[in-house]
Amino acid sequence: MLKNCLLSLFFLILGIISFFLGIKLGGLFLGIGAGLIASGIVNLFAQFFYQKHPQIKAKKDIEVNDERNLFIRYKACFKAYEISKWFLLALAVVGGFLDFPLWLILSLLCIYIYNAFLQVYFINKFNQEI
Amino acid sequence: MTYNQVICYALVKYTLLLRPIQGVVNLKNNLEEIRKKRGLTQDKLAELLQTSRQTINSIENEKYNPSIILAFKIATFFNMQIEEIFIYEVQ
Repeated sequence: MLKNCLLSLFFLILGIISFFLGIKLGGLFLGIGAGLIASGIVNLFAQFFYQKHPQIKAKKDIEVNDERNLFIRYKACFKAYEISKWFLLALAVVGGFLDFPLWLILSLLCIYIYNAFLQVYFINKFNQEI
Repeated sequence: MTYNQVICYALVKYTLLLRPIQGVVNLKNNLEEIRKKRGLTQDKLAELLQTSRQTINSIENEKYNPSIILAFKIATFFNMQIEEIFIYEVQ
């Protein structure tokens, strides 16, 4: 709990520093700062809330680690990946017909091939581990 | 690749994606009956087994096969053998 609080506080402080840097330097730092401040505040509030209501925290932990929920989450991730992979390939093909710049089509195909390699790598890895 | 080939590929891929996982057989079980005999609610049983109520509900409705760990947890909790709660029918 303390570790999470400190981590949230660290990100909040980092966000504030980044935000003030962003005011001087503009652009990217401002965006990162705003994001970190928002997530830091939300996480801090969540930690204080869970400290006051440990039964809700226990229930949430059970929900997160529940085997059916994990199974559903993994299955959803897999489906999302399969669909995204297909859309990536479809976009590359459609891009070819619509005269997209070559670098864009090649980038899309590179991501597709990279995904395929990652898949083979993880299949081998899990084959050895499990 | 012609337009027709693209459409055919899309259709095949779409059908494959939506296809349910083949070969998954859900176990029959007496969990609901045993739970009710002990006067427990799904919520209470889930709390005692450190799992969610939806998991208990899905197991009872034979929509989800529990892991061997959870099956052992359930059997140990009710002081029974796994085979007394979960019934495997050879297809």
